[in-house]
Amino acid sequence: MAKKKKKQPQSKPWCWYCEREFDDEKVLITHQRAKHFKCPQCNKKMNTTGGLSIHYAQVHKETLRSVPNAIEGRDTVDIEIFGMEGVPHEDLIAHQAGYSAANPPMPKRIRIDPGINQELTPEQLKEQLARHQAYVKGQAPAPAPVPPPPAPYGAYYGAPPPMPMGPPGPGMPPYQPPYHSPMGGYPGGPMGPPPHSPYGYPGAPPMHAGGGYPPAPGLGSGPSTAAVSATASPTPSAASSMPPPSTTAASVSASSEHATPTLPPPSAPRPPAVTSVGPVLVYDDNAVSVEEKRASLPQYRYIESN
Amino acid sequence: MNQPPKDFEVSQPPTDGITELSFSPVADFLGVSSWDNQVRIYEVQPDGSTVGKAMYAHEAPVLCCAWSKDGSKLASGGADKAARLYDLQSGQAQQIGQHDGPIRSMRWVDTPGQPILATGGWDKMLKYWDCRQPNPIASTQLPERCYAMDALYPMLVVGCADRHILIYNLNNPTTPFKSTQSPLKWQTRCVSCFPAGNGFALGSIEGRVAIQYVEEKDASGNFSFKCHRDSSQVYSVNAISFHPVHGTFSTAGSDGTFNFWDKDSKQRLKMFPTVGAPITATTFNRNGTIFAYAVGYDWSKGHQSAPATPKNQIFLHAAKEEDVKQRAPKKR
Repeated sequence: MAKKKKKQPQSKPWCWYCEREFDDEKVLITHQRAKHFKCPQCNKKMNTTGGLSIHYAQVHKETLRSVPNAIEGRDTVDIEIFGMEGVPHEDLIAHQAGYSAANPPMPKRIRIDPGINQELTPEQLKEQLARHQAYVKGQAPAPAPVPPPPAPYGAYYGAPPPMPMGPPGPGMPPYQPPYHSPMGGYPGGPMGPPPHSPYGYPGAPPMHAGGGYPPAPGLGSGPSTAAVSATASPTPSAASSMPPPSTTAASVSASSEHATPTLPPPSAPRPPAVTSVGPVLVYDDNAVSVEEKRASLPQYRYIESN
Repeated sequence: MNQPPKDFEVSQPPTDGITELSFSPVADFLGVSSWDNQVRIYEVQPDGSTVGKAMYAHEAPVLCCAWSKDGSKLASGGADKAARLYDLQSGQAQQIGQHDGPIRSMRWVDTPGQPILATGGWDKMLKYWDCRQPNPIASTQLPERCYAMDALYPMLVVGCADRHILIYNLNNPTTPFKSTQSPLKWQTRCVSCFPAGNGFALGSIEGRVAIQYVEEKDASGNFSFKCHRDSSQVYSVNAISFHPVHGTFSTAGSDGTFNFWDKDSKQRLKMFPTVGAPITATTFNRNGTIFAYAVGYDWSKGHQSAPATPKNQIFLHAAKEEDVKQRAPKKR
């Protein structure tokens, strides 16, 4: 034996708060500091929830009730977790189990397979092949379990008996994602950049919008300063200031602007934009201001005297 | 621990919601416009107490008010479509302007010596008045209803419905210098110019503030940030006021909190716990030592949610130097 195999698939370091996996513990700790131990108010990063709740109480005079960005049930502030330290034992086991289920120790099995395969008699092989062909044609909805000798995965596919060594892939059970998806509620989640800066204020400027408007043509010495008329409608200059998409900032803003039409339905204006449960706008009527609504009420309505 | 800030409460406040607060540029006189059709002027004493100084009426809710540059007059505009001017000396109010719809916002845009009042209304008009003649000295069509405006000579920024933003150079007051869309995706709620005069801040109903520079060369400094929201609800940013000395600014929202920010170091300088009801208007006094804020239901949850016994209060917060001074950027 040349190499010693790993006894079982070792799970990567993972974050207890959001069930996300990391290649290495250093990254995990950075993630936890940035995601879960960061003060939502002032973005100060702490090392543990304890530190965060003390900071919250002392600096902001409020009690921290949940860990930011944590999945449900994992947002307690009572457990001190740093990297992989402090993770409750049962969760560690559960995660390990989940990990093993999602990534069964395939290589090992397949290694064993050849040996077993060779014990199949030609008859059995033929039978399996026939069954497989039937299955492929869609006649047999579910293949019956394979008889006596332990059914190697490869057999379903009528792989030539000697060596299903080639691609071990096809023999695997239906594809499963390598880790369970982090139970909803984490849209910007593990993949892809969140569409909006997840950080409060000082995050990277999320949109440099409205950046480069080219100067309106007739600035300063415009045509008619004293022209007291509504004919000086802003439309022409508005139109003329649109075309040259001068800077990148401008084009970025333009595209982001295009994403939302002027009056998005109040229900789901930007689906994955905001945080987990989707905060609700207290006032979401984009077309009319609160003052207009209020002013239309009988007690405020203006009745012209003349 | 969670006590409201110990701020001075203005005695004899308006009996209905407060729409705008304005401090005189020359004295600690606070002008207050209200849904109860009245405009009130309070004098703030050095000890923080207030004395009612004057009051005059519109025929409908008053939506805005603004002190003239010399502090001798207070202008106001309201749902009665009229702009009125109160002379502090004579104690008389007279109508100086007229729109075809309620006047939502107004600012003095004059060069020293020649008072000119700009008014914006829901009739989609922007009008300029010299307070002497019944007709505007200039007027121009806005693309939409005016929701907010702020001016710092020679710049006038008008925020309209449908996210239109118009920037006027007051040397050419009828043609927008720039006509653009708000970088925020939701309705514009308030506009406030930087004291440096090179840009402005916008607040939207979706708890977000955009910092915008006017000149293209500064456009890389544009950004926006979220505020006035909790895990489940997003409140509107009702008011933004810049500190006249330090160039920092306040935001106040329907969530009943106000914060002080520094846009240059992108930091929150100070946050305050909720005052229990929405903050509808804010302003700093002329030297930035007093921060006035109005508390009362802002209608953001509709008529049904209006409290049975509406409370309308004005508080004067003594702005601490360290809370409003610019800060060096934080290491991140």
